[in-house]
Amino acid sequence: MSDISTPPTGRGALAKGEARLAWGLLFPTITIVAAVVVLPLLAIFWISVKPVQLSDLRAPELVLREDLRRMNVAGDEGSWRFRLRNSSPDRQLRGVSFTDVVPPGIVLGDLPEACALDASVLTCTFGDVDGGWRETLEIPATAAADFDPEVSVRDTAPDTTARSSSVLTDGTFTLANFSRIFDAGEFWDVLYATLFYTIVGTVGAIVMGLFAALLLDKSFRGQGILRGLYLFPYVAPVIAVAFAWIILFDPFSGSANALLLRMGVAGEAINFFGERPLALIMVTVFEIWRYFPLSFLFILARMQSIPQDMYEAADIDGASPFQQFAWISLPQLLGILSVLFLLRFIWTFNKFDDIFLLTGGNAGTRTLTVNVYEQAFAISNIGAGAAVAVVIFACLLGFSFFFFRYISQEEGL
Amino acid sequence: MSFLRNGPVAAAMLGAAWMVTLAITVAVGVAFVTGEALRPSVLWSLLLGAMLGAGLLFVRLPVAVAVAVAVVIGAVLMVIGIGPILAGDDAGIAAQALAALFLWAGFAIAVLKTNDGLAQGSADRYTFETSCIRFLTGFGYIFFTAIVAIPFWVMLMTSFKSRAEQVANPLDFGIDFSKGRELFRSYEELFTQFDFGLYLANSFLISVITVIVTLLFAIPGAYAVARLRFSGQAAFSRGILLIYMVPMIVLALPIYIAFSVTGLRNSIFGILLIYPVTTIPVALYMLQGYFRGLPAEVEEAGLMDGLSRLKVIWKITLPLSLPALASVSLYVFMIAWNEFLLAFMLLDDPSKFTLTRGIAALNSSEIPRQHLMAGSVIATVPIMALFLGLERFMTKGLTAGSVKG
Amino acid sequence: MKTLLTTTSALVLTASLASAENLRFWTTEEQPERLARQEAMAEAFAAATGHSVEVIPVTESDLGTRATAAFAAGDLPDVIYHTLQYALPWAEAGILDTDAATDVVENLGGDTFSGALELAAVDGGYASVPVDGWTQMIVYRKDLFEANGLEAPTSYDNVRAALAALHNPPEMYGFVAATKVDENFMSQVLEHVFLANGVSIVDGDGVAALDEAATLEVLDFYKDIADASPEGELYWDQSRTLYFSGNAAMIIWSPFILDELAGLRDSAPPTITDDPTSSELAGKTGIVTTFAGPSNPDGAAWGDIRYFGITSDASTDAAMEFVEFSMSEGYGETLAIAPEGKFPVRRGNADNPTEYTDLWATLDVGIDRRAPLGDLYEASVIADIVGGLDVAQRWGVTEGQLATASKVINSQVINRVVRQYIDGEIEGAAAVTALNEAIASVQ
Repeated sequence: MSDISTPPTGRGALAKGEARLAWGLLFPTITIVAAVVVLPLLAIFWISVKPVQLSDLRAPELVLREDLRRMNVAGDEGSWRFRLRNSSPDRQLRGVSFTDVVPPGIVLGDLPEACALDASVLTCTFGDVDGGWRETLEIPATAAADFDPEVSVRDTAPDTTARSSSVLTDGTFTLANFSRIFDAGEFWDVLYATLFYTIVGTVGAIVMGLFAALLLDKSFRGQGILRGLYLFPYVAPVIAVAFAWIILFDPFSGSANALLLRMGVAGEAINFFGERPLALIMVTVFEIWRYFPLSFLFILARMQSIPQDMYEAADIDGASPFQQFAWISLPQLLGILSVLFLLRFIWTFNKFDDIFLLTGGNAGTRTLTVNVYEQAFAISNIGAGAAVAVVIFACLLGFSFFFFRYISQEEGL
Repeated sequence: MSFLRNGPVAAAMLGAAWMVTLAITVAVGVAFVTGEALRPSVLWSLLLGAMLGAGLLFVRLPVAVAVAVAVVIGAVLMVIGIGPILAGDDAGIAAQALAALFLWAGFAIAVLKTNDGLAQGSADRYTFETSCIRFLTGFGYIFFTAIVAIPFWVMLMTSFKSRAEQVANPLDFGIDFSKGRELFRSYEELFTQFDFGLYLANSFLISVITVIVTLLFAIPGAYAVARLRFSGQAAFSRGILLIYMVPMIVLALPIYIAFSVTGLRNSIFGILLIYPVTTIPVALYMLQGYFRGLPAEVEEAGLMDGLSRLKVIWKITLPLSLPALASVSLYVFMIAWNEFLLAFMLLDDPSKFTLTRGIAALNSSEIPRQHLMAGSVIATVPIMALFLGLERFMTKGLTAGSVKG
Repeated sequence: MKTLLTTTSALVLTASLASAENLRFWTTEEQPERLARQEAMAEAFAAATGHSVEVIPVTESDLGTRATAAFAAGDLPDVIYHTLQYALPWAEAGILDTDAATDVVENLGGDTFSGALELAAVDGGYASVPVDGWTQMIVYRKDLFEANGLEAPTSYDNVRAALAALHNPPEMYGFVAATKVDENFMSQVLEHVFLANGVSIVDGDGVAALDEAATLEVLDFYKDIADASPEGELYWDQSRTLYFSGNAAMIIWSPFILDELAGLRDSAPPTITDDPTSSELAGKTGIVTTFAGPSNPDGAAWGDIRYFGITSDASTDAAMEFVEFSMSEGYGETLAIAPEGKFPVRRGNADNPTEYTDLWATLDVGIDRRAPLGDLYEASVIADIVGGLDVAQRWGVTEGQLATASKVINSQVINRVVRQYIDGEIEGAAAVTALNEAIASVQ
């Protein structure tokens, strides 16, 4: 491919064709990723500076119901009733009015102030109405001789007009979402939980992975089986293993507690996933348990590519096993360990499912990602949820900068 | 340090460490199998382990004899009622005997193997560390096997036990085979009343289609990034990695709203639209790495012969990449099969549930825990079977793709 | 012109009759056997009207979140089966079409309903159509109480006396109190205990400061029963399991326990004897619905009502037809989902004022074995628990502030503070202050 000697002119055309082909091949991917990743990201940025509750996503509407009351046969005196309301409890509707066709066979009595009749078209105007506005109009009506009880006033839908502005598209911007998430004392709790979970989880998984890799870095019968077994936590569906942990550590009927109690280690049942600070430690342990296989796999692959003769030479020199590990294996593994650290750091930082399933973010285990869900869905304040998401994204950009700057060229990623 | 390296001291230390490890392991193991309470005593373990560890250095015994002697010691201690494992309040004699047998036989073998090479005098650093490493290796195998196996064991066994049995003795994981079909009641109910057969089919269908769609998008993309020169290539390649690191929860909210508005929520089609997008970046990333590693000369020969680029990809590159495609497919399949968050947020209708969503629905109401675990087993078994059957590809896929968590 | 108009209207009418709607119905009754009954009812409705109904189970704890999200997305179902706590907040937020619900009640006849109808009254009508209800019960071991000469647990003092006599863990826990803060169950039990002592979080003007002395009595009482409970995050599950295994003297539960208690359901059997189908435990059990604290000697019962809410995204006419059908021809099927916990709120129809209460009394309870409630419990016990519904209270109902009270309850702040108090993290006075702050902050 590195065909440097090609004359510049011909190369230009070729290169152009190649570039065109490349973009053609990439086009489908770029489109779909843009639609599903980039657009939502932009939406999140936009929402984060808007004072939006979940229910505000829906613009206020004018809701109208009409019916005929006490009118069954010709000659009945009843009423034609309209019930109107503003669907939003707190936001204004402007220029509210409706028109409806008076059905045949109905003669209207005195009209309310808001309404006027023109030929057989009824028009009612209300102007601007506040949030939570409700109005019931009962227009007295008489059924004339040609009244047909089969005909319902609902057969001709009234035309309604009402203007509303959506918080999403109007010009109101606010930094309240950010000040809200930073001001609340819980932000520091959340940050602490996130950092603890991320750092301890990452380091723990790598140390455990290193230990496991050292165990399996030799061939013996059953090595394959053990290697397969040690990958189980990572391969199994997270929902299955998370629930298995919850049941194992249930304070009431869990085996772990029963074991500790019977062995006399604990005096009373321990609420592993429900107490501060134990819950945070437990979700971190779960994280280590679930992801050590990944580090283990990486490290094992790297270890097996260390030339055997280095160890043989060291043996001859009389280096002890620990010395061999410290002076031969570790330096060879440093590269992969640092790559692993950064990658796992980012991914643990991003982790949502595990904590959500284990504790739902209770008992001091609410990390930034769980906070997005908590703010946006549980409290229905999507502005604040989006603000947390923006904070996450900013952290992520920082990490990625480090990643590309220091790691990627080194390991060719 | 040099004091520690003294033969008997090292032997005693390692003996004590072994005894503690084995006492805990055996007590937990026997408890999990029989449901009986046994209590490991750290103090007795340290004492007896150290004495016997050092003792075996002075009295050299063949393995068989050592095992026999150890078992006899164990039996005597059991009768007296002291030792590394003490009986709990209600532990039966059978469980105690079983525990003593495993503990003492295991101890004799482990200590003899570990301390092989240690002499009565001071040991050199090499021998000492070799012994330590032997202990650490043995300990490591026990430790990792236990922590990995126990949650899965609990999952499996709980699925066979009714709530009443579980509360009565949370430790008892024995299976009462006399219950016959009743044992599988949870599975039967999940398949008959909870439609788990359908969920299984849905999950399978969704995962397979996700794999196919992902490959359709990722193969041309990866080839372009790996082989073709165009401006913006480096930026693009980094962009993929960056996008791949955006957490799903950040995107979930706008996606939820957009899908609701367009009516894609609560439909398998909607899921099929979104799953591949989560997997395309990782597949692209994995494949371009592989394509770069393929010799360019073969392709150039193809180009020389007048084949177009697309033909080259189809006729030369893809056949060469079959193993990589298998790895990527398996990895993508695993991601789609295990996906929880999107299924949880986007699917409401039980007739469209995937397995993970179905399990989430088992968690909440008055449904027995037994069902929850049986559902977990149903979701876990296929992916495990696939994994064990195609381990070579899977491992490769995991290594290449594990930038994704 | 006139003829033309009539013709058009007639055409529209025929068209609207012919166009069968596809309704979506969210229900919190998500167990398979209960779902099957609701699907059967939906099919009967489809056969009668041509509108099909898709029955979608929603986990009760997710209902609030899901409904808000669906509202935002304009994706609400047509009808939601929900509890009282959502009725007014949802009406206020615009999720429910109160006019449609009011019309349904009018069509069915407001006088055919029991007094529970007024719980969800809004300005000019009703937020939702009440379907069924139940009262919370203190379930206790009558045999042990009698053996120890204890009085039935109708008051704080009686319960304390029983705790002193019977609490003997781990064989016998005096109580199994709810302590899992994110479970609705804890909110229900706490509200019952607060009401018993006459403490309310609202007055006529909205949230109110709690009376410190009476609140301290409640907190101390709750701490006492929590101390006599096992460790852990307790909710309905552990309460029932422990009572069934004979390890608890008292629990608070809903009437849904009545069939299981009599050994009619295999997935939750009484394990006190070797025979899981025995009704022996039912015979040893006494039931109290009205409970009193020292500051409120009259006591109070706690009731919950479930509603069919017609949403603002509904195909209104078809949805109204569905609700009317479920409350008349299909009412028996609706109640039969679990008659032990679904007392009819609509008593009868124009022809027979006690049509549905009579029908209810004949319905079988139980899952794996079935029998009418009357065969399992004494008539006086049944009369007591059903009668509780008419006097049952909730925070905010008499004050006209149910919406505010519901919001406070739904936010679960009370659960969290009470939990901190029983865990010894805060002192009594601080707990009352924290409660007041937490309640005031929910708006």
